[in-house]
Amino acid sequence: MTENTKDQIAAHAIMRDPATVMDLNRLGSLYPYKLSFMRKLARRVMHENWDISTALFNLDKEGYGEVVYEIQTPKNTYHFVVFANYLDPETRTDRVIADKWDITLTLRHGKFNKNELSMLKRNVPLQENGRMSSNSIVLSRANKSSRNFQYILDKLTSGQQPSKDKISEVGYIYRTTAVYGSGKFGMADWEKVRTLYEDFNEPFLAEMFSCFMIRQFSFDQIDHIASLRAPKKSVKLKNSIKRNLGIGNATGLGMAPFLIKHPLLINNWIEKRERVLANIIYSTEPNNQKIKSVLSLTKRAINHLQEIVTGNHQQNQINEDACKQLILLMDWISENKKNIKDWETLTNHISKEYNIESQEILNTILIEIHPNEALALETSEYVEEKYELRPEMTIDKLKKIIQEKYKWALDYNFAAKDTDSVFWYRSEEKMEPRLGIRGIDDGDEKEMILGIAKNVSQCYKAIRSIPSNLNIRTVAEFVFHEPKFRKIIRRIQTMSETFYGEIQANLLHKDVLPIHLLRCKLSFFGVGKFDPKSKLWVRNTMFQGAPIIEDIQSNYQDDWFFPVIDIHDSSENHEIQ
Amino acid sequence: MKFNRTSINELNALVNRACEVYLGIENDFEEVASKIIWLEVNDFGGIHRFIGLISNEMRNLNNRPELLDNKKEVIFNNNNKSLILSSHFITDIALSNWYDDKRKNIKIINARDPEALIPDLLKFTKYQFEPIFIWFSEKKLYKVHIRKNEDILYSEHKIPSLSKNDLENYIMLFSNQEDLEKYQFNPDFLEIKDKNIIQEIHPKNFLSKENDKLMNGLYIDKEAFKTMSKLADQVLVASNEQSRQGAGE
Repeated sequence: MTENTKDQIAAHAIMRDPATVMDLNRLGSLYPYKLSFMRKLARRVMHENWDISTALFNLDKEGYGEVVYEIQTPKNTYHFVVFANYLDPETRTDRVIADKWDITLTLRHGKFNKNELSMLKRNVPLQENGRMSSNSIVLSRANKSSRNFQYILDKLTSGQQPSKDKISEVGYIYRTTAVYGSGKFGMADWEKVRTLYEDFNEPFLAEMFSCFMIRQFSFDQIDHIASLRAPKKSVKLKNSIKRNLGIGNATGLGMAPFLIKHPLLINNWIEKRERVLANIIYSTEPNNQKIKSVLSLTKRAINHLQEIVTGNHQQNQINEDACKQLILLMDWISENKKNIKDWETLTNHISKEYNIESQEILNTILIEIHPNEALALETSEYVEEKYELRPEMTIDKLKKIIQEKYKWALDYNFAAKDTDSVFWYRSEEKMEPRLGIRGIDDGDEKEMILGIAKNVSQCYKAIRSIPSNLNIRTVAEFVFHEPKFRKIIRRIQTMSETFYGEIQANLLHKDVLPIHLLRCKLSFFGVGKFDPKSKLWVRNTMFQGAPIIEDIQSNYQDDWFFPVIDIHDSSENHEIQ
Repeated sequence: MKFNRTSINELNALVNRACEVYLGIENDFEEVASKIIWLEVNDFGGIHRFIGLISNEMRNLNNRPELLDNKKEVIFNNNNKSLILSSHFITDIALSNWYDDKRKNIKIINARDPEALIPDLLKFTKYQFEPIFIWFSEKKLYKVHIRKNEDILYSEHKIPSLSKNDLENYIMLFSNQEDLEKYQFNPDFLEIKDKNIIQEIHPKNFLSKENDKLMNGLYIDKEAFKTMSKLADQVLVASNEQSRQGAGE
């Protein structure tokens, strides 16, 4: 047994139970944390002093035209090209099916070459209908926030800065509606990005960086328009305000199939978070300073939640409840701090007394105050999303695996009402994933295979019904007899070797809440301020509180955790130890 | 001929959807798609072979070969179909059999597209097997040896003096070189099997093809791309006001 394997077994022994962690409600209560991709990206940009400059700035007085940024990292050169066009406000929509946007953009490898501009101009604004070259890494678009853009522009033009209240209400100027990578539309394959463009060698880092650059463009564009409108009177957006502005995002159902189709990747993300948490809970001890940090960050989390403006009643209730519970938690910690000799005392208390939202907030705080333990696991291991059949496995062993690892799936009764009531399908409108009601909506004959629990359950039933006269002993013999189960068996066998395995939910249930899947993925991205618009899509904010490019080369404090609006010029925040 | 440049991932998504339509969810369409992609990336014409299948053959959801015998050697009849659709059934049985130390040779009769076995056999090296398979076509002998670390050696040999026609129309699959040596072939074959090499593709050639496609993408002729897209689009459902509600509108 290698040292690594021993470490892994030891970690698994203290990590939380998969049934607890992989429950959909809990996954839908996760918050961004120290190792979320945006935090990771910001550390990389700041610690490596990426040089971000403007190679071309060709915007007219209305802010239309093109801008090219050049990005020099220690290892590579990239350019980020933005096309800004007039968009009739009537046609502005967050939906993926839109075909016109305020800005369209691409992140590409290599130095900016002016000769390529006309090719990009022909293709980038077309988005899904354009073709990209093999050195393109990301293709995306964004729309202005109708509420904020005009307000901030008017303020700057009149020589004033936007108010804190307005920024709290909508914390961004632009909102992305889709960010494409991984070889879409002819762009560089993920494998190429991973191996050749080291700066973005972990999933979604290039996509996150593009969002970071959209945020930068939003500042540059609005400053530019204000300065041309009132050259003498206008002011530039203050850096302290820029830091409090992020980039908006609207995320719909498209993310849900991704999570189901990449269970190895998701397992990896979850396992890393849980491993860090377990290491902290069982290998570190509370002291006065740490307890003080827990209290201070809990207070910050409360402020952050109180700043969230959403019209969604349920989300408001969730935020309010979490705030109330966190206040109680602060009181309890203050009263009992002398008795908190280990972190388990605290996590046990919160698990017993409070809801999962509060539990997960505390978990992210515990990780935040232990940066060394978290950053020790910062580098991601490469996961190849590959599910190979193990045909030599005996059927008895497969049966046992299903009983042990997929008990949650076998617990559903698919003959019961509501358990198989909805189906997922791809619409002809840009292949947008949609949810249909079986028996009412068209398309269930073309449904996507996202009902993992149902497939496992059917497979298990078939295994139990193998006629003895067939003398089927191995998986190879079984799939030869029942080819339709080959695909799910590959998955079961592969996932059985992971600790956390599958998301434990029936996505075909009438009351399924896809929004939990979206929030789970978004939390790993580092997205906050969730503003659900229905159970199927959510608005949110990225990079709020993050450093801006003017901060590069300054002493970076990795402290934009549960960001709260702070518009003072000199931040007194320090990294919490 | 005009081409569409595509990334591997983009082509993979397209082929997966096309296979989902052609084979249905009752079959392991992803496994078939991955074979098509492997053949395309390695210049064995995966897309054209697949288009040939969908144009010339009646869609049949049952692509399982017939298991004729399982005693001394395992014999499959592939019923003149392409191994693109069925090789995984055969390699599943082969691996399971060899793993149990039975080491039976596998004979496949009436099969097309033998190269489709290659991607299926790559994983055998993780089990310490170095499978080798041969087939005859138009007076040529073809041999593929998968060695450790998934190294592939592909060779094509001239067989001018081989007279026995019964060597044609079947593929022999062995768990390693030793089993091939032991097999009672026509004596003429033993003479020519390592001679008269017309063409060899070495592991480094395979790696370089894959690397080239990864760096620069693949060029698929526009007509083929259109045919694949037309098939793939059949997984899509028409949109209407009601279906837009299913996206949260």
